[in-house]
Amino acid sequence: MAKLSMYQLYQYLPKTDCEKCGFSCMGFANRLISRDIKPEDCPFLLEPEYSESLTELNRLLGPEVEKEITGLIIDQEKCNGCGICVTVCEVNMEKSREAESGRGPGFSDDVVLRIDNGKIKLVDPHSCRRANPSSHICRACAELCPTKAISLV
Amino acid sequence: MSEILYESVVCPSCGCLCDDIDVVVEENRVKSIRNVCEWGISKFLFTKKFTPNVKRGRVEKPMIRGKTLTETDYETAISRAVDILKGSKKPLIYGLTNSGYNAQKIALNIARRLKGLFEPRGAALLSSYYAAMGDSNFYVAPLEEIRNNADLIIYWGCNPIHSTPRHLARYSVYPRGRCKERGSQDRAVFTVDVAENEMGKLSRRFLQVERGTDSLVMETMMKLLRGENVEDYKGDIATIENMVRQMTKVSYGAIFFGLGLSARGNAVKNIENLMALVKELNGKTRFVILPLYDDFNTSGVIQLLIRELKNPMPADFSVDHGAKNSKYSLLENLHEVDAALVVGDDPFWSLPSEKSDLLKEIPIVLIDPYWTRTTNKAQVIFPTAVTGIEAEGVAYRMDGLPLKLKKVLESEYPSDESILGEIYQRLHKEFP
Ligand code: SF4
Ligand code: SF4
Ligand code: SF4
Ligand code: SF4
Repeated sequence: MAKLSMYQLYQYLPKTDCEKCGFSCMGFANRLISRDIKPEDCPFLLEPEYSESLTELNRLLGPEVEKEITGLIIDQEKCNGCGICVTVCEVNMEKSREAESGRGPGFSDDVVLRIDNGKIKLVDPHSCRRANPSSHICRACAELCPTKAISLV
Repeated sequence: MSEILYESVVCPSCGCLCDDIDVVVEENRVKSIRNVCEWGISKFLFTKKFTPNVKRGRVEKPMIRGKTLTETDYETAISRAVDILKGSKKPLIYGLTNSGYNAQKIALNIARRLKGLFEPRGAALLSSYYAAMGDSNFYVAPLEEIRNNADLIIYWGCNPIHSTPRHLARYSVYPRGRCKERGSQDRAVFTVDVAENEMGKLSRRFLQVERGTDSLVMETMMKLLRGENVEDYKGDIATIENMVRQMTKVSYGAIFFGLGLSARGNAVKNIENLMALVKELNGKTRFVILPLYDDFNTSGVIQLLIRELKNPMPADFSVDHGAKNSKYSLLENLHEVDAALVVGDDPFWSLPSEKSDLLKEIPIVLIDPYWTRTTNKAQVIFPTAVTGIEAEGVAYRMDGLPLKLKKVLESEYPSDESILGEIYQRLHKEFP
């Protein structure tokens, strides 16, 4: 599956740039990718005429897709935010200098896994090694999670 | 609806004092927060530990107890508290491991002025550790040094996944360090505890010991190190032998111990033996030892005692200037105490009942943001801002590194520091 792009998501937005969400529609799409906001944060998408767009956006961004892309199943209930997965993920390490030494990734670092509101979040499933068939199969986060919050399909 | 982003905030929850927390605040509420663990987020959201969706009840107004508990104002509550403390022959000032350093300092001065007792929560274990550190040539190793060098980490009497959730990922096992570039692949973990838990999965050796036998296990390890006979040991000797063999082979070992060592046996004896074991190990290789604090500023209050009284023991100002006390815990003298000032702790929950029963008999002045078992017994209750979230302060990380705590939310409540300051001023005026 190809990497989810901002343009792909933009197609489903009202494209009015009304800024009710605080951004332009393109800015909104960008933040959807980083999972900083939800499609429901655009008031227009809640109207009946956009209901199909909303469903599609949620599908594209949803856990089912994460699972399809990475084969990782995340059970947030079990996670206690210990951050072991964030620290051991080698892609995280390449993308954030802080993660290497055990610090949490910086606010704007573009990582695969981060702890958000006390729980693990797969912020960019497309960068996970498992999403890229040419790189070796990685299972570090699932193997080292002490609470079994990450498992493989 | 403007959002404010506070970057690299210190989490005021456990002794790790993680300083990489990014908090987004909107309309004076935490809207989202990054890098904090589940225990930390509960603190930022004022919810139950590890249950971020269950709110904790906050005390909303100062309260005093007559026939029933009634709301009052701070002024009246202060007067009542000062009367109780002034009228006491031997007050106990207790808790303080969840307060900033300045608040701790004022509390110590109150104890000094009243010729009372001053004891931080969990003193027995901590004072004996620091006293032993002072007597030997050991130093408290910085967590960064451990991260850079340790190839063996031992957790004894603690489960870091619960008490200090990010400790493993930030400081001990998983981060890469200068001499440990592959992180956990370059290190081994041993855990010693009474029941198998999550640590079993990530430990190379998990030694399950019977309650109350920790010090015996330590003795057995020492005997093995000295090549002595251990035939009389009845437990899992094979695992112990194996652990000891590996302990002598590593180049830098770190032992973290927790409150388990005081909850299930004689704290002082356990620490004595553990320190002797570390001494023995240091004859063969390099080993450091640190406590794993689950309160965020336990380290601060011990630093305070060492700085002010040159002694890590709890202070007894009733007999001298507090500095000569040689008891690791003054709670054995609880029957002599006739009033208590409790700060940020819930002794009716945390102390064994034979101790807390004695507290039932005396008036208690309590400073705490939340309803607890102790609020049910206290005569005077002061609600406060939560330090590190609603009030600034300074706290000391488990290895003694001082860190500044920020204020990210406005609060209608005063800080514990300002309430203690007010009480101190009034005592000073009325009781020179
Ligand atoms: S609220 Fe919706 S329509 Fe308006 S700018 Fe944001 S995304 Fe576009
Ligand atoms: S599977 Fe590997 S690359 Fe993917 S998130 Fe887990 S640790 Fe990172
Ligand atoms: S998923 Fe597992 S390893 Fe990652 S933070 Fe949660 S509990 Fe820790
Ligand atoms: S490990 Fe401790 S200091 Fe760090 S985020 Fe969790 S509770 Fe806060």
